[in-house]
Amino acid sequence: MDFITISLISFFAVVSAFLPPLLDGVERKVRAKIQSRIGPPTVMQTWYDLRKLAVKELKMPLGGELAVLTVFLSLITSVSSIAYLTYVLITSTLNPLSIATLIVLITASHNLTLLSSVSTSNPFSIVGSYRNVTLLLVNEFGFMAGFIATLYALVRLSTNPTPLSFLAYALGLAALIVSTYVGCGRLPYDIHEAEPELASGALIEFSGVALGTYLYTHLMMRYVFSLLVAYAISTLIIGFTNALVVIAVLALLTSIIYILYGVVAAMLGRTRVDLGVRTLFTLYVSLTLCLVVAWLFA
Amino acid sequence: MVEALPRNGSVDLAKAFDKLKRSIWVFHLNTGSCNGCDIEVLDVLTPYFDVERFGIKLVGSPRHADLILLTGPITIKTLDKVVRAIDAMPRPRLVLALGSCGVGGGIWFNTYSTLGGYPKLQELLKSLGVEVDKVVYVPGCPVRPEAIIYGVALLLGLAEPKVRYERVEAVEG
Ligand code: SF4
Repeated sequence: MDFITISLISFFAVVSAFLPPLLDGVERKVRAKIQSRIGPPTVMQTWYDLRKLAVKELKMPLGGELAVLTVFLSLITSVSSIAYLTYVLITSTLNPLSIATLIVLITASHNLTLLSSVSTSNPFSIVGSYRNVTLLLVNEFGFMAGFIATLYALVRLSTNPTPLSFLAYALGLAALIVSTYVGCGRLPYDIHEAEPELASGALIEFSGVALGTYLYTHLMMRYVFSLLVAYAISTLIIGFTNALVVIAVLALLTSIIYILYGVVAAMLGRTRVDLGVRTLFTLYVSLTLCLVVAWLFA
Repeated sequence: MVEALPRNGSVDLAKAFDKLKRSIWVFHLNTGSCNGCDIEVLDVLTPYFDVERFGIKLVGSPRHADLILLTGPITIKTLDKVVRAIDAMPRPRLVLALGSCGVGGGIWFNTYSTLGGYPKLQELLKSLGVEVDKVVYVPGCPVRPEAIIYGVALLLGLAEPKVRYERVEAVEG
């Protein structure tokens, strides 16, 4: 790897660390516009929120040392997944091993945030977290199926672009978009935000820097998911070109997808969590079956 | 006012308070009000007044809150929950005592079933070692939404107070 590629990867990784809270600020502004409000004073509002949490007192929940530790571990894995994803995309080294590593890093970050909430002594936090676990169990399946199917379809399209390959790509992309939307924790799958309203859920016991880290990790994961979708779309449109173009297109498309997800969330209402699980399960199984049929005929 | 805040362990309260000026998360605590003030609080938080434009956000847990919007005269039934909710807040913790009831108990200032407003609660909190860093009293029955926003601005030092709060004891009999 030459110096320029290393610099590009470092630059994009740093930008990716700064962008998610900024995009969240933009999303809050857009959401306010849709709801005929002014919204936060600036797009930096989420940064201000995080900065405040960083200097506030950390109230340690009873037996919560492990919880706080896992929150920080989760941040480390989400930063690693962004850095690794950047490396893979810029150097075009997508292979079964790198895909498996990516999936492990992304799911590890999710699971660590869940572990943090089940390791407090607050029973309400644990109850809320299990609701999240149920949803994630179904969604991880859809995410893996969608991610792998989309990448496989992209490889097939580059060698043999038949209508059925396009159909397989579209089905894989649909599963990827739905699963990343759910993985982003947006309405009606925003369990971590909805649960505190019932005095339960993963977030309920966190305060100060632990809460700030949890929220920042969450925003990073939203960015990672948007980046994956951006990659799946941009690769079809522009193909593999030089690193600088890949970075510019990815950064732009990721930001657009991030905001688009926010706009969709602003238009949806809340549903019962068990309905969400059932709907997702039916959707993923149907998409997978259609995918299998498309591959068989392709 | 900011300089008056001391350090609390590893937390620099003055610095943390300074950061609250751009981002303040509120927790609504009903201590047994008639719901008149609560409806005004909800009004403040809904799109019409849109307090997100001041960096204010409603949160569902006192652990996430910087400011408690306290309504009601603090009934004896709610007392232990109120104390625990305020104690659960990370410092700097601020309180906005809302409505005649929150400010001084209102018409329940000396009944058997209420504590009689925030000042009496503050004495109790002090005796229990629960520090509250700043309090602003916002009177009214019910309190007006504009007054609540003004109260938050006063609390954060963004507006100058026009009146002074003075505590007086009611003469019984
Ligand atoms: S101040 Fe008035 S409106 Fe508010 S809780 Fe008391 S009685 Fe109800």
